[in-house]
Amino acid sequence: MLLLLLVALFVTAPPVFAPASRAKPTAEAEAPRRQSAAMPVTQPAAPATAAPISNAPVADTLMPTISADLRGRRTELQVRQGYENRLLHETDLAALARELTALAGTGDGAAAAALSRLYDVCAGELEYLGDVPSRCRGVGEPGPALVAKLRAASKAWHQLARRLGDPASVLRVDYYETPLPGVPPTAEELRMREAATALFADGDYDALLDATLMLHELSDRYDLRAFEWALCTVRPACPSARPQCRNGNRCMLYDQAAAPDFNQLTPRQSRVIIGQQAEIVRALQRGEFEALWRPLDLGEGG
Amino acid sequence: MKRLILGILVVLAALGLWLLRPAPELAPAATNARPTTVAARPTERADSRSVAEGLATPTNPGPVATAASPAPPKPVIHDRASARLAMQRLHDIGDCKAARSESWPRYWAVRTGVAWLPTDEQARNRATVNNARQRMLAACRRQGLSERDESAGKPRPSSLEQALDALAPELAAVEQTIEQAANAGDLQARLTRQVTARPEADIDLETRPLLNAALAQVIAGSDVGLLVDIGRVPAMNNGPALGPLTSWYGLQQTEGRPNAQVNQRALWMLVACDLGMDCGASSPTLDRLCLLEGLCGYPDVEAALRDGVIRGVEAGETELRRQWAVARIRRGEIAGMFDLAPAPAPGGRP
Repeated sequence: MLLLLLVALFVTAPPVFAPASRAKPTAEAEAPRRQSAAMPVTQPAAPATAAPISNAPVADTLMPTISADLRGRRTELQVRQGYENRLLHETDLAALARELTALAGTGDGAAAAALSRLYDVCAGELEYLGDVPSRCRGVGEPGPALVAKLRAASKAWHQLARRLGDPASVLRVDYYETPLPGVPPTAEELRMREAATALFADGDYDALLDATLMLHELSDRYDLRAFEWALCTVRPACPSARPQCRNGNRCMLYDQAAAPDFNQLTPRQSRVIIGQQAEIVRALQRGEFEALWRPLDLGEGG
Repeated sequence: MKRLILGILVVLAALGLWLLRPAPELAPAATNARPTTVAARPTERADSRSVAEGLATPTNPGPVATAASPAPPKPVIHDRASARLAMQRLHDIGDCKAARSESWPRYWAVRTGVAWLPTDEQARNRATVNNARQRMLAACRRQGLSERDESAGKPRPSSLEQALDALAPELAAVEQTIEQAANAGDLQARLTRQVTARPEADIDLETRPLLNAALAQVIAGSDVGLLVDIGRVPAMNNGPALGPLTSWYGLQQTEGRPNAQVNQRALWMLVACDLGMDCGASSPTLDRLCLLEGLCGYPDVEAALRDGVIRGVEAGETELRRQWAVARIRRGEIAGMFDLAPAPAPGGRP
C-alpha cells in the first residue's frame, strides 16, 4: 500500500521575486493546444464575461463566496498561461486578485487556481518582507493575521479550483493512496487521469511538470523523474526571454546541469529511469495516454 | 516451630526446583527441518537486510493467499544458543520468501526496475536470477517451509517487499522473537531491535555500547556479519554523535562542509566484505540483493553496491570511511570508534 503526502507547493519563489514589469502578451506560448472536448473552453477575452470588479479592500474579500451550484468551465491554455504571466509581472497583485475573483465567479477554474497561488505568494512576501513595499501592498495591512488569512484563502481557492475542474488543481492533493493492483480505478483516480490527460492533450507541460509526483502515483510504476525527463523531452523549448526559463524551469536545469541530478542517483537507477523515460515519450508521441496509467494487472496477478 | 520452618524449606526447595527445571528448547521448525548453527555457516546469515526490512514494514497480507506451510512454532528463547537459532530461523524465512517470488517474473521485473534496463543487461539478469533463487530455496528447506508461491494469480501490493512479506506468515511472530532473542543477549537481535522497534534508542546509554559490543564480537572472530547489521542502525544516519563514521562534516572533519553524504548500509556491507564475509558472485548477500532489488549478474557484492545502491554523491565519502573502518578494525583499534566526533577544525584534520 502506498501512502502519499503531497504538500501543495504554491510558492513559485524565484519568479515571484523577479523585478516586476508589464505583462507580455501570452501568444509566445509555443505548446500545442489540442483542446479537450470535456468542458467548454474560455477564450482569451474572458474578462468580458466576468462579474463586475469590486474596489473593496482585498483583505475583506479573501475567501471565495461562490455559489455551490456554479459549474466550472475549462480555460484555454493560452489564458491559463496569461494568468501565470500576470502573476509573475503585475506590480499590483491586489488589483489582479480582484480581477481573478470576478473571473472565478464565472466558473473559471484556472482563475481560481491563479488566485490561490497569488494569495500564497502574497502570504510569503508579507511574511518574509514585512512592511517593505511589495506587489502585495494593496492586499491588506501587513501582519501575522493577514498572512494567516492569506494562507487560508489560498487553500480555499485551491479547493474551489478543484471543484470547478481546473486540471492542474485536480492533480494537486494533500493525500492520495494508490489502490492495490487488481482493484479497478477509483472515482478519484479516474478524475485525476482525466485531468492529466487534458493537460497532456493541451500540451500544458509546465502544469504537468508540477504534477510529476501524482503522475508517478497514477502510473504505479514509473519514477517521477522519468515523467520529468520525458516531459522535458517532448515539450517545446522554453523561450529564454521568459523569466521561468531563466530561474525555475527544470528543463533548462537539465539542459545546463545534468550532472548534479544524475549524481543523486545510482548508475543503475539512471539506466532504469532512462528506460522508463523512453517508454513514456513513446506513449506521449502516439497520444496513448491511457498506457501511462496504473495497469489493472502487471501479469501473474501483480 | 520446627515443623513450620521445615515446611517453608520444603516449599522453597520445590519452588527452586521448578525454577531450575530444564527450559524447553526452541521447538523444531518442522519435522524435516535440518538443525543449523551459526558457527557451521558463518557467512550465510551475514546480510540480514531482508528480514529486518520485512519487519520494518507492517505486513498487510490483504487478499493475498499465504503459502501453505506448517504453523510457525512459538519460540521460547531462554539463552543465547536458542536466541541464535531463532534469529537464524528469521533469516531463513526472509531468504525463503525472497526465493518464492519465482512465479511472478513480470511483476518482479517491474518492481525491481529490471524491466527498463537495457536489453543486454536484462539478459544478464535473467541468466543469474534463477540460480540465486535456487540457492535461496535452501533456506525454505532448512526450515521446512513451502518452496512454492501459492498466491500466484492473486493481486499483490505495489511494493515488492510487502508482496513478499504477504507470502510469509511465518514472519508474524518475528517481533516477539527478536525481543526475546535480544533480551537473551543476542547481539544481532539487539541490533535488529534498534532498526525495527527502537529507532529512537538513547545513543549514549543504548546504541553506542551495543555498537561497541558488536565490534568487539567481530574482533573476537565470532561473526563478521554483525557489521552489516551495524549499517542498518538508524542512528548511524543521524550525525556526528556516533563518531567520524557518521559525521556530516566528512571523515576529514573539514569545517564548513557539513554535507558529507554516506551510504551507511553499503559502507558496512563493504567493510564486512573486506573483513571476510562471503561477497562473491554466488554469495547469500549477493543473492539477496538480486532477489529483493534486482541487482543480479554482478561479479561480487561490491560491484552490485556501486552500481545499484551507492549514489554518485555518496561514492567518495563512503569509500573513504570504508578504508578507515577496515584499517581500524584490522588493527583492533576499535576503542572510541563510535564516540562523539570532535568539532570540525579549520582546514580539517587527517
